[in-house]
Amino acid sequence: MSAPLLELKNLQMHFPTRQGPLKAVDGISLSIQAGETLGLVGESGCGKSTLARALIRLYRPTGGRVLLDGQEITTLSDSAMKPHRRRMQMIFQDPVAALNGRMTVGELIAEPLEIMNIGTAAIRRERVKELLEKVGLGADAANRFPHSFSGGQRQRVGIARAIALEPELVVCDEPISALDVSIQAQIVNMLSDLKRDTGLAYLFITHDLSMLRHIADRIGVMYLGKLVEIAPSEALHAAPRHPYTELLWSAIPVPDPAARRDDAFETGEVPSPLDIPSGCRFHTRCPYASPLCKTTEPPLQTGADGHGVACHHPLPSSPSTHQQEIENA
Amino acid sequence: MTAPLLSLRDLRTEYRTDRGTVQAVRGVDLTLHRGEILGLVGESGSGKSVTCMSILKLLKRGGHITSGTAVYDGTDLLKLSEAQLSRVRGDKIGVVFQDPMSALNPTMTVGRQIEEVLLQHRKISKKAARARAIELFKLVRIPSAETRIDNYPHEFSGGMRQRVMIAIALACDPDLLIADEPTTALDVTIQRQILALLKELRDRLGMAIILVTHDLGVIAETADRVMVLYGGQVMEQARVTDLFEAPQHPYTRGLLAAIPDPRRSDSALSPVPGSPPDMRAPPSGCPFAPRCPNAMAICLTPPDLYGAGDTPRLRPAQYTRCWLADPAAPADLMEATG
Repeated sequence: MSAPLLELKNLQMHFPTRQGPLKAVDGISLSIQAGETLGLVGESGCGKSTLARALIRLYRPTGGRVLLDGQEITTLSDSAMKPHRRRMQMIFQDPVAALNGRMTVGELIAEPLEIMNIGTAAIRRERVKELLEKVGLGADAANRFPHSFSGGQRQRVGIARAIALEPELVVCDEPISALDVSIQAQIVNMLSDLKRDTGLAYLFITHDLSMLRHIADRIGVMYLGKLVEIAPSEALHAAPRHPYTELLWSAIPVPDPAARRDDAFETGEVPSPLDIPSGCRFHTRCPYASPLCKTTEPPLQTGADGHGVACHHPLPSSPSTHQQEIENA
Repeated sequence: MTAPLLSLRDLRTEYRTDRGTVQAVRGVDLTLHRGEILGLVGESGSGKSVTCMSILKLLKRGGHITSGTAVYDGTDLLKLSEAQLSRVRGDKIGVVFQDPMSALNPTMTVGRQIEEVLLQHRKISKKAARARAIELFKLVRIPSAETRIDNYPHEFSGGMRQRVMIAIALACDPDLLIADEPTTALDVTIQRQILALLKELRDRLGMAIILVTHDLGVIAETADRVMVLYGGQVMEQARVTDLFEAPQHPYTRGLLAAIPDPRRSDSALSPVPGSPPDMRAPPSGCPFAPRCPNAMAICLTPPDLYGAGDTPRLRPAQYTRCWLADPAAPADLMEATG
């Protein structure tokens, strides 16, 4: 196997606060292959957005390493980072909120090309047209302003801008969360088409677990700054091995009244990231926690099938034997 | 059959803005029975929230109701004075919003905020109000109710804040709770807790709930009956199982095809093409016609809301605003599109 496009080794991103360090990302190792979509899920405050910003070096990590194509970029200065920036781009939840409202859509999409000194003005205009066609807006959109567009169209502008420099990795941070249901599938399908046509890789962050299954090749599950499970998408859905993944999956509302569950669902809430529990961070909410879990943090262990889990008592494929295993242990 | 708790007839609400008048609600009829959970589902701009907020005249600047009635327990709320309405709000009808932080007073303990509601609507002592506040905290399952009651809103997590909001809404034992996207800002695990709580409260207290959401999964988990709104009108309404088993309106079908089923990976996503209409100048006929795969020439004329009495194909209590359900529509046309 060739070197991964992007690799994180024990990445840390701690922020100083008055109540002590906030360990938003607390030692995460993972890799993204060229052309792959890695999904990242977890409840709010788990550190998934911080991880994304640290790995494309919008933040300078406080520990660990970031490797792009095997080359270390962890502590590069802004000017040394510049040639690498075009290889990694980002799509936000509301792209236009972050953009200059006085610029036309054409100017917004041409801006990254200008910053990187690519082509003449005429060549850039052609490229903008091409990009607008590619994201389904049509070349006429170039002269309009983003505020005259609907939410879905604005996200298309954000995507056109992100792919203008032909990046190899696009980090998508909740790109569909603010969109209407009927529009979400348009954007998800378009992102899939772009990946198929250009071979780019995505890091796709979302809290919409059912949508993730459609777009991700592999999925990582984060809890309080740690990766607790990572596996091929299908394996993770068919047989989650971490009790937290199981909990998340069971919480997804199913669009079928016949599958309705009327049980109480009292599973507690995420503890404060300023006061992370000892041992396994999930033990305070885990139905299977043993004394070992309160004292010893389980490492992420990856099997030959590429299924990694950080748990002392991982779930087996057959749930009925699980309780027995814990009692025997 | 007993009289409905709430009955809206031909509700129309518009918003005057600098850039024109938005026709947010265009003739909505709604019937709600005691103890029923009615889901209002639709996309942004469909009119689902404005319909709810019109009931209590809680409209943002520029909004006003141009016609209709909202008969609640025998009284037309739309004819009440502001003073009379303020006695209904928080007493007979409780409201829960998407963002509890912006609805709570950050400078006051949550306990005092509940007590204020009680003292405004009930002749009770401060001591009794406090006891009731603790009781309400226990009802919505906030742990350590006796001490948490003296905390400020920022000391609660998002999920707990939403429980506080529900406790405030329930303070005066309302017969109706309006919940406008109550779980949209919450994580899925917390969402499931809040939805379970709402169902439990309905069962224990017998109140009716109008649940506004854009999430069909939330509807399937929670509602007894559903109304699908689009372009300020009801496109379809049905009992929840019927809506998911036998959706009639092309918009409902489009929505259902556009969402993933978390239990399956093979289901391809079929987006609804196009964008929602500009409600400053809504389409003259069916508002969904410009995006509808089944649109015909007649769709430029507004269709009626058809029920099982018009079209045998519809289930009892199912209604659809679509020319395909017109008794004069050729039967094979519907089969071809179904």
